[in-house]
Amino acid sequence: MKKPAVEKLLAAEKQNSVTTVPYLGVGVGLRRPYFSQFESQVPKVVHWVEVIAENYTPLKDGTLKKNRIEKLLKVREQVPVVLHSVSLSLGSTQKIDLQFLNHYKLLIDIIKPPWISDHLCFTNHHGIESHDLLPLPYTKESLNTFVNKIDFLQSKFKVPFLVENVSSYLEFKDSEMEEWDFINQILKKSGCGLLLDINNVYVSSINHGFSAKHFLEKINKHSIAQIHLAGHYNRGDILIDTHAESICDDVWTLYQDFIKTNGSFNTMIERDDQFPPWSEIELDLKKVEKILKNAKK
Amino acid sequence: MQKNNLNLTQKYLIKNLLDPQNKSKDLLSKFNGTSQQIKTGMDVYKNAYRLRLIESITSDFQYSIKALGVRKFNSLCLTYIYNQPSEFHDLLDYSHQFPEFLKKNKKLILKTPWIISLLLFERALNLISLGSSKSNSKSNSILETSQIQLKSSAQLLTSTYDLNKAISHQRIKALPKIKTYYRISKSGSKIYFPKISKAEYLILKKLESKHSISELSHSISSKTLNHLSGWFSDWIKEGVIEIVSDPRI
Repeated sequence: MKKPAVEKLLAAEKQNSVTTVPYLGVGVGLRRPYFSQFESQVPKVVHWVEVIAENYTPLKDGTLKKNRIEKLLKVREQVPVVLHSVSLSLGSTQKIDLQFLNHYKLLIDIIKPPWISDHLCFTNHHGIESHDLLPLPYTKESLNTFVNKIDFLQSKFKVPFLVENVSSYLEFKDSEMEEWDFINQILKKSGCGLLLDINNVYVSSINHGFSAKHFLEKINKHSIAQIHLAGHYNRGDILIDTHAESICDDVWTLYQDFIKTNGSFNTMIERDDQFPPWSEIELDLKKVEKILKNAKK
Repeated sequence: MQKNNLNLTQKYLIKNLLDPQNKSKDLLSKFNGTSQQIKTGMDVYKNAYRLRLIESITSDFQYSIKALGVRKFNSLCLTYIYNQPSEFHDLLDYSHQFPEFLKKNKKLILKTPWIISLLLFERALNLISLGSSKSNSKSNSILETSQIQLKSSAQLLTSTYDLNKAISHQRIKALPKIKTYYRISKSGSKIYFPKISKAEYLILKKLESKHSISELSHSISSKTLNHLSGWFSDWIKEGVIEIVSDPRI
């Protein structure tokens, strides 16, 4: 059994990985339609960008995506580039794919992101990739699985690591705790940071009938290093996290209230489909900038 | 709580995802909500899985879709998706295995065996646009297995006059002197004779003798390469070139 002093020391070490995330302000998810514009000059309102890591990691056979990486490096000459992966499968009961991990490490060494992130979900089982963020029950077994994986990744990558809450469309009967308690425990035990996706909180709150406001009150603010804002599709019977629509008013309100009460956090807008003209995204980014300026000091 | 419950849960979700029908009868025992709510939720994941994979394949093989037709192409995609689940982190890797799947399942493309070569050609273009290394032995060895050549029935022409003007105008008094290039071919009952650019003409001239797809892709400038995929699709459709596959395919 570990002595309390050792526990304290370990906890302090883990806390360090969160506090090393710098405050950069307003960012955006950089996707293909806006790339050429960013390559020549990153718009003034954007202080950092986030890209999907798997779009830049080598192919399975090791083939490098040289052109993509060269373009990304041109952007990185102007602003920091954060890597956001979607397939580390942190909740998977299977072992982490070491080949992919090496490919990811190579990318990290090239891009030198200020932090990296992935999701609180599983995407892989027995070698089959779902290419989706699949939910898990909020149980102790899930909790330990996540914490072990995150610990391993943090030791391998040596870059601040954040986990993102996902939106979900199914609610497990097996769950032993609420989502916010589950996330708080992962943050506490692993020492990683939180990428709080407010749209995901909202989507899940409507789909499963809980209060998004209550979720945001209960979540551990000290671990938050980044916020995602995005749009969803309201099908009538269910909300679907598509990133193909504008951010809805309710999500803007939740964000504004959250910042007013808790202070500034790195915030970025994600858009992955049905891309509007850049000017539309820029308006939203300016809105974020204004909200952050009025944040609690 | 039962040990390995999480493993079983994950196995169960993946199994459902890969099942094109909703056959599971025990959904009610796993999730909260009414049977309709649970079915709705599960369908979101199932649809997303299907659409994400189809989108990836279709965005990588635009010219093959054009050549084969959307309906037939989508049907082949679905057969691929539900028979060979993805084992890759990158969707590009998954879509790049599509031609290999069709090679192993030739009965799916009995009437259109040429589609494999066109898919391989597009895959080569994708790799080139990514700036992939030429020394990648695996991908090159696959690409080397297909060769293309000008059909013996197709012809290339040059003229010192713009013949299109001659054809489209009546009672011509004088034709301006301008060097023009043409290809003439037949597909089905239709004859094609478009005026083409010098760059297209020179590539087709090259194809009077057999060339592998990778040789061709690497021997031309990146500017011409941008046009090549569009030309290639037209050449196939209009009976200008033929694809000679390696007997091992």
